[in-house]
Parts: sequence; structure tokens; C-alpha cells
Amino acid sequence: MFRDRYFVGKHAPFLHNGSSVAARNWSILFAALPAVVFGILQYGAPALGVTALSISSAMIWETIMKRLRRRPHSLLTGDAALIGLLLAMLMPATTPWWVVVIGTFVAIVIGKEIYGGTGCNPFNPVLVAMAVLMLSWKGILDFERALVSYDMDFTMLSPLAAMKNFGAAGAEGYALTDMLLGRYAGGIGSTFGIGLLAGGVYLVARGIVRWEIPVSFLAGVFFTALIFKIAAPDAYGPPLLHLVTGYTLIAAFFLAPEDSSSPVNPVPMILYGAGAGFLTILVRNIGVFVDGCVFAILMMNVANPLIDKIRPRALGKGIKHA
Amino acid sequence: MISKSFFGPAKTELRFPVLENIHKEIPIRVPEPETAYLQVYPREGSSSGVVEPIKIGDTLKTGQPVHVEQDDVRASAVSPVTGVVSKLSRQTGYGEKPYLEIVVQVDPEEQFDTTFRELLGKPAGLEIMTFLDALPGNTDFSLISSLPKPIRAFVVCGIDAEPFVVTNQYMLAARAEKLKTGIDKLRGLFRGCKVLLVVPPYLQAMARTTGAQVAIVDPVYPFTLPQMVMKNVFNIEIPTGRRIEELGVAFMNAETLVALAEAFETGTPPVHKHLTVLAKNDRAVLAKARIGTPVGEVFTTAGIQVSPGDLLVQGGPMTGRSIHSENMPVLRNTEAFFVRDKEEIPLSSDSHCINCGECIRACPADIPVNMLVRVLENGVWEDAVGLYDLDACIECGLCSYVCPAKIPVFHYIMLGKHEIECLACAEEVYV
Repeated sequence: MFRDRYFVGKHAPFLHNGSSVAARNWSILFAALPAVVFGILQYGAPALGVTALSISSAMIWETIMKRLRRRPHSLLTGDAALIGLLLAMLMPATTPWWVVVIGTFVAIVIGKEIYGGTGCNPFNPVLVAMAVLMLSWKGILDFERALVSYDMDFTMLSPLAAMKNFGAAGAEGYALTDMLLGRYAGGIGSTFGIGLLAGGVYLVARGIVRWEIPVSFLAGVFFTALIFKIAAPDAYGPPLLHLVTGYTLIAAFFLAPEDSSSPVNPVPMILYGAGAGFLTILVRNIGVFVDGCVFAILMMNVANPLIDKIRPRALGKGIKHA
Repeated sequence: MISKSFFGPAKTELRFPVLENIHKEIPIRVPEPETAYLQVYPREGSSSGVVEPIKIGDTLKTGQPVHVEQDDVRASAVSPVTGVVSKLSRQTGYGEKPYLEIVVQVDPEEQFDTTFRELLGKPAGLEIMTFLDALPGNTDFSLISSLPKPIRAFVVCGIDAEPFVVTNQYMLAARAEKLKTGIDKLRGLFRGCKVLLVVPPYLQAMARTTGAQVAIVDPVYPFTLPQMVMKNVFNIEIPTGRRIEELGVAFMNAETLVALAEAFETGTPPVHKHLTVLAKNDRAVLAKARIGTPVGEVFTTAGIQVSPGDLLVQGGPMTGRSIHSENMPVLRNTEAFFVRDKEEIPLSSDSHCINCGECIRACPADIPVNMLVRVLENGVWEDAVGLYDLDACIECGLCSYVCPAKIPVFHYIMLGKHEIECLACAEEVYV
């Protein structure tokens, strides 16, 4: 008979693969770094200021909300920091401080915490904030007006605005390599195409972002733009330019695949990505706004619960006899 | 044991280690216990009111069929030890299943009951199945011999279902001749049935010496689970709510057949169990112990230090059950013991599902786990079955294994299944 020593009770399984929410978020932050660092180098101290304020204010809003909801703080999971960083990446370097603070308030409080926190938000919090800011202070987020004080060695008219106003003619003078190297007017972290691609490929390789969403999103953007181009070659810009300008790349790898608001089953992921790409070009080519990524992805967020019902048949279901 | 590095690959898989020299292993022999703890679970449809139930103070012989009654629970078993019954109690096991615990003070002078030997001389009937039910492993011979549709094929597992457990790989590698005899005996008991041996690739040549048909499985969890073997080897999906046996196929461990061969040769029912002890620091020890031996004895013999607060698991690391005391015994279906230091226990959390979809990609049964865990957390049991295929779960535990939010998904699933069972029982009583 052994001494009555007691041992820990726990339900199976007794192994874990070591993944964690924090590791996922830190990996995404890490993947976003090249694009952010490039933006800060290009736009200087104001860009650093916006990024730092966005991240810190997002973390403060999250702490306040956790206190109010009497939940343990969750800053170390990096969730608030990630939302703050992604929001800063979308904004021009000259965004006033109060717009940044309002933006992070909308993202954290209205976009996420009131639904119950991480994992419960039906929309991508960053895009909710961006949509509110774009609708409320159009001029501040308009790159042509926001970046007017910068004197770069490239044209400060953003390619999407040029295409919107001048059609195919507006696209002339924008080389694809310049776009990939971030040599055009845009958000702090959304212009450096190579950096965003590298980060995106890293996330896909780590399995944090599923390839289905970015690939189908980019395919949706490309083929929709191609159809427009074939239908009216003079009125619309080339599809390849659409792929590498505006928010397309950051949306494909960092915004559309946000866990909580995107589908998890294979076919829905492809429908979701392709739908968002399709809507993006609709807004860009025939809508009012210069860039359609924000609204397109929000629209697909609405459709997500419905399309995610398309799923494989479970094992042993629907079999009468064997 | 398993961890994913920051820069690591996208997927960690539970691949079984290849043990080229496993046939040279010699299992450590756990000494015969002074006190044996027998756990007897009641069986469906068994109500032998004819046999006198045992009482405290009765003397049991090794191999003696015993009938136990305590409170509202009645069960039958075969005693694996010789000794005096010192305690009888009704206990509640996993999922609120009642069982009876018999504590036996073991007599070092072992005496064998002759019932089994006498049965060997006669043509095989249902009586012998009671003894075969005591064979190490988890095959229910009484059930499979009384099915309306006879068993057409036996699948003998030369690989354990659980990762890192090597008990049955060892039995195949080191005892292939006995296994061959066992397969022949099985063919004699169930005439006309096919026997298929399922093995990892490196044991293929050894498996062919047994004369059985051989099938190779990828030694990666969960492809070693019966439901996955059925799907991948036979291309048969088991309809939800049906048992594998109802489809005319029965699964059996290699050890069961080795023990069967030994039992027929010696005329004494089997009383020993081989098991893999997965100790701290990823050390694996192969051991042989009498059924009913308290696990503490196994640890002492294997030189494993355990202290309060550690995690002791009866069974493998994915689907085993944690035990609170070292007095819990080696059972006939205990393939392994798994020990974790208190510092290394992976803890669960109460955080929300972040909808990352890892569980969806890990689930071998294609269950929408992300939605299922939401309804289970809120106790909406009917929706769990009706909308999100709770009943299709094959209980592999991979959803919890991969969950970055560390939600105890598997625990929720088993709770949900239990609640559904209770609801079904309540309805039956009401009707």
C-alpha cells in the first residue's frame, strides 16, 4: 500500500504542440516589421510618431477595457499592439495625433472589446477603425493632401488616385518595380511591396496565415481588374498595377486573413478571398473611394459566418450502411 | 516532449519513433504485488444471477471466474491473483461509469483454478469467452462472439494507437512466433475469418513471418486509431453511432494474441500485461507486470521518482486518463503509463476561441471544431450533435493538442458526449 500522495487531475491530451496566441501575434508583428521600418525610414520622424502613438494608445485602450470588463490584462499576447501597428501601417505619416487616438479607440473598443475581446469580433478591428476614419475625415487620410509637404524623388500622386481620375492614361509613368520598392505615396507600412510579400510568405510558411486567403484575394483583384481592362482598355488601369498598389498587398497578407473575421474551411476561404478581391476592384474602378480594400474586406466579414457553413462532410456522417 | 520553435515549420506531426532494435529490448519485470487492486466494470447484458457473488474474506485462485455485486452494480471477471478479498467497493470512473474495486491481499503461494484448463478440452463455446475477455488488450470476445452478424475480419494492431507507446510494436518484433500461433488459434476459434496485421513500415518483414495478411500504416498519430485504419486501409467509414464490430470487423492488439497463444499452450489464463512507461525526461521503459499491480510498484521497479503534484496518466499521452493515486492498478487495457513533472504539465486556459482554424485542419473526422467548442462552452448539447457533428468525433484529442488558445476542447467534447448520453437515458426512462 502506498502512502496517500495525490497527483494532478487533468483531461487528455497531456501533450501540446507549444503554439500560443501570443506566439501567433508576435509572429505577425515580426512579419510586418520590414514594411514598417521601410515606411519610417522613408517618411521620417512623423511616421515613427504615428506608429508609436498608435501602438501605445491601442494598448492603453485595451487595458482600460479589460479593467472595465474585470478581465485579466492581455497585453503580452500582443493583440492590441498588433492592431495598433496595422492601423498605423494604413495611415499617412502626417496623421494628427487625435485621429490616431480615435482610430485605436474605434479599433479596440468598438471593433473588438464590446463583442467580448479577441476571437469574438465579427469584423476586422483595424478595418472598422479605418472605415470610420475614412468616412469621417476624408481629407486627413487622403494621401495627396496628407503628404503634400514631402518632397520625394517620385510623383506624389498615388497610382490609385491617378487611375481613378485619368483612367489608363493615369497609370502611365508608374513602373511595377517602383511600386514594389515603395516608391509611391501611400500609408506608412502599406507601400513597401517586397517587405509585405516577404512578411506574407513567412506567415504562410509558418502556417499562421493560410495560403488560400491571400492567393484567392490577389487572384480576385487581378482577374476582376483584367475583365475591366479587357472591357474598356482606356478607362481602367492595368491589373498588375492594381496588385501592387494601394492596400492590396497588406490586405492580402495582414488584413483579410485576420483570424476571427475570416473563414476556416478551405472552400469558404477561397470564396472569401476572391470575393474581397472582386469587391476591391469594383470600389476602385466604379466606386466613390480611391481604394476599396477596407470596405471590400468588411463586406466579406459580414458574409463570413454564412459562407463558412460550406464545409466537408464529417467522418461517418450520412452513411446508411457499410 | 513536443514544442514548436519560433521559426519552426508550419506543422508539427506526431510521428512514431522508428525502433530498429526493439526486439532486443527486455521488459523489466515488476515484482508480484502484495496487494492487488482489481477494477471490474459491469458489462452490457450480463446478469448472471446464478453464480454466488464474492464477499470480503473469500479466497480467490488465479484464473477463477468471479462474480461481484455491490450496491446496484453487478459485474463478472477472472481473478488474475491468488489471495484473500479484503475490500469491496463501488467506485465511479471516467464519465460517471460505475465500477467495482476489489482489493486482494495476495498470497505468495499461487494456486490455479482449473476451470479454464477443463474448457480447453471441450469444443470452443461461449464459456471460454469469459476467460478470453481477461486477455491483455481491450478486445471484448463475449461481444464479438454473440453478434448477430459474425465477425468477418480481425485487424491485429502491431502498432499502438497512441504515439510513443511501443507495447504492441515490441510484441510483434520480439514475439512474432507466438503471434503466429495466436493467429492460428484465432482462426480456429472464429472459423472463416480473415486476419490482417497492421504494422509500421519497418516491421513489415517481421509481420510477414506470421502468415497473416499485412497492411502498412503511416506511423503518424491519428492514422493508427481504429477508425482511421478502417478509413485508410479498408476504405470503410464507420457510420456515426455504430461500433466497428457491427460492420463485421474487430480490432485486437498483437499482445492479446500472444497472450492467447500462451494461455492455450500452458492451460492457465493470462495474468500479465506488458506496458510502456513514458517517464519524465522522455525516457521510455518497457515493463511487464501482473494485472492488478498498483502503478506505484511499476514506478519503483523502473526507478521513476514521482512526487505529489506530478501528472500520472493511465494510458497514452493523447487519450489516457490522469490518475490521482499510485494505488491505481495496471489494467488489462493499460498499454502505457505516462508521467509528467509538475513543471511540464501543459495547462488549459479559459480564453476564447480565436477562430484560427488549427483544430479544423488537425481534425481527422472533419468536424467544425471552432463552432462545436462555442456551443459546448455554452452547454447547448443538442446543437452540438444536430449542427456540428459532435457524434462524429473519434476522440483523438488532436484539437486540444494544437489549440493555441489552450482551450480544453477534448474535455468539452467528452463532457458533451456524456451529457447527450444522460439526456438519452432520461428520455428512455420518461417514455
